[in-house]
Amino acid sequence: MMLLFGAAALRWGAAPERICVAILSFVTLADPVYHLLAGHGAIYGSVDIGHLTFDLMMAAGFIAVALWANRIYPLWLAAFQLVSVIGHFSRELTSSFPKLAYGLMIYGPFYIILPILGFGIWRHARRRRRHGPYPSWRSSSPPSPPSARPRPPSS
Amino acid sequence: MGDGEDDFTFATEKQRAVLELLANNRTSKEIAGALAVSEPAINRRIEVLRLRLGGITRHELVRRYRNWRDRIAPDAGSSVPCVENDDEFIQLGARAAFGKAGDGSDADETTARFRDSIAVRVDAPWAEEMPPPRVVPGMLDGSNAMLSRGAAIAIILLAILASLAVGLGVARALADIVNG
Repeated sequence: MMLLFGAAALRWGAAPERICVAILSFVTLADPVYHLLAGHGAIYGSVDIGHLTFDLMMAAGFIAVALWANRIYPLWLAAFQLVSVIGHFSRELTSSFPKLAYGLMIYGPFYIILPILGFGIWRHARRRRRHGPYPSWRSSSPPSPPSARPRPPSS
Repeated sequence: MGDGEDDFTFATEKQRAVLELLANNRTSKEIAGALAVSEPAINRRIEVLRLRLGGITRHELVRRYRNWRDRIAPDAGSSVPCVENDDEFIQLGARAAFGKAGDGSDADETTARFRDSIAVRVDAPWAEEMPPPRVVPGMLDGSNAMLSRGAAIAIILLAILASLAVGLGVARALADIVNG
């Protein structure tokens, strides 16, 4: 799945899409390595520091892209990833936290992020086909209104 | 915007050919036909040049290129890439031939001097470059973009958590009903 996303981002995506796919790919590859080194599976009784670290790194990456990219969908990626980060602390807050809610908050966002990212890549490719190249990152100031653009000399 | 701030030495041969034809008031379609390249390819070259110069308009790009060309070589009109003319287009001479001051006598005038009886716009209104697509709403762009985007993330996050809480509440209520 990540290979497909990687290929799509390289073929049709721009810098924000590639960064997001790189973040997801890194975590997907790093997770089994973490389990191999830690020697245990997922921890449900308390905060899983390893997974929390991965989720925090992903959230930081998505938030950075969301703040600077000329895109909307990274805002959703960042928000869903933050749900995952918050989910890690839910077990610490109350021991009666439903297992279903915990599972949804920890693992659900990843599977929602994937289609959102795919949608973002598709929308970018469509805009590029219709309008040609356009900026990947936001400008520091809003574009000038049409009336403010320079006009040809009148005489 | 000073005229001296632009330098087109970075332009490649292909980009230079497009600029020359643009400076001759050719449309993208005409340039594509003249250079035997597709129109989207021509538009991409123009777009690259516009972005390189800070997202200026097509008209501004042409103006700056003419100024730069006139500055480095006032007779550069003769260096226009050789392009076959279509039947309906006429290749105009160098701009430097116009605007030369004279005393009205034909003795020293080596070039003809013409003046239009009416002012005509250089670029046709429909030939102006379309602005880039607006991807992000204006509220999430501009000087307060960081703040507004951060707020947007927070709002989406709260909405997701609220949806989750409501969904779990409904699931628990249904489970209680089913279990009696």
